[in-house]
Amino acid sequence: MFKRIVVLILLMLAFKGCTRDDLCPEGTATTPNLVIRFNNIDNESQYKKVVKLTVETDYEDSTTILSLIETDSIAIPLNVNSDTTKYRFIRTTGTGDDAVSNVDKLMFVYNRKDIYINRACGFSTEFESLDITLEDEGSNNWIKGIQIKRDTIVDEKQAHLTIFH
Amino acid sequence: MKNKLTLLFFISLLFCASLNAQKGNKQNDTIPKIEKYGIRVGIDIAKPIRTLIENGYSGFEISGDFRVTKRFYAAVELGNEKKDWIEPYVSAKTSGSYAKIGFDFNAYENWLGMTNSINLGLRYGFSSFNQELLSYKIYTNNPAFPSQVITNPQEFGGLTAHWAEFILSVKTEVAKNLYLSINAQLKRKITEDQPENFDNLYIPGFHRTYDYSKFGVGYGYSISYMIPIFKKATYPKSEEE
Repeated sequence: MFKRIVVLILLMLAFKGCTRDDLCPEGTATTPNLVIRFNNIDNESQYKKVVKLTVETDYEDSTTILSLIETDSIAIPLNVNSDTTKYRFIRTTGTGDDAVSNVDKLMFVYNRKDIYINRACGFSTEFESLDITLEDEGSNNWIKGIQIKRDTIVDEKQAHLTIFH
Repeated sequence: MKNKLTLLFFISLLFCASLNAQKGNKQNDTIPKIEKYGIRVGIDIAKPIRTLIENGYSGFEISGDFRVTKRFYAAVELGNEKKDWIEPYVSAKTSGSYAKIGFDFNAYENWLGMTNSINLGLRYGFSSFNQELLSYKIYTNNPAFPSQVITNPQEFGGLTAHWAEFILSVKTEVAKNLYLSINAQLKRKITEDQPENFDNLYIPGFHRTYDYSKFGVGYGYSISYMIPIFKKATYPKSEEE
């Protein structure tokens, strides 16, 4: 009887030792992305799709986040290693040889707070006091206005800002 | 893993020995059984060995038990541990002391003149420790901004943890009053102090913690010496309890 109990417990311990909880499970709430909606400048409550939008980081070796998509909302990451993130929002109109790209540069400024998740996922970042600057090109900007809806980015449930065009 | 298997092997050896020993019992019903009572003190030899061979670990544990009745022993373990815990996204260092107090129940019926035991025990465990978050990374699967290691050590002092523990041990008398024993422990956390914006990755005495479970495990391999205080004679016939 006791032998059986011992064997059982030792087996349990052996399997317990092999349990892996060192992989970050999918679906864990990690660092949230910035959610942006695109609305019509003429009718501010109306969603308006951007025809062929490209989003890329505005650094020396830039990374493309989105390429030539038609959408009225996007989710893009913010830099967790710095208090600023620079992006190029490119709207491409026309096709083939007639394609015209309009590049607008945006800079996101914020404060960061690192939040512990668990041992497998490490930490996530929350962003606070979000502020945005659009590089002014006068009438050449395709982005006509920006409105911050939520300046604290802790989840992706609702848009954090609206861009009017 | 390897040492677990080794332990299993030794435990099974002990069982074979004890099973054989049981055969041929209950004969000489006129010879009284002499039972020794006393204080047994010992040290865990697994922890100093780990200290020598394992990087980022140091620890020791002393133990003591006192035979209260024929089958029950009051038991206590005191120890100290330091452990570096390195994960891909977090690394921390824990150090502190612990005490475990409880009792053992000897479930093994000894052959004449022998004092081996298979103990089922319960303990209340308490640990007081410090934890230092050495470095961490922000979890990201986005290639645009790969996360960097953030080295910003933060120390969390004066933490405590409490747990309940089931301990199973086998003790064999290898020489007069000298015992070798092996044990396996299953623990369940009751409460712990949560460091602010962090977690206890390791608790001295409780060992590693798990993200989604309150349970913990442990083992020990110890050598102990029994200081006999008095002897009691029991007669097999009147022994039925």
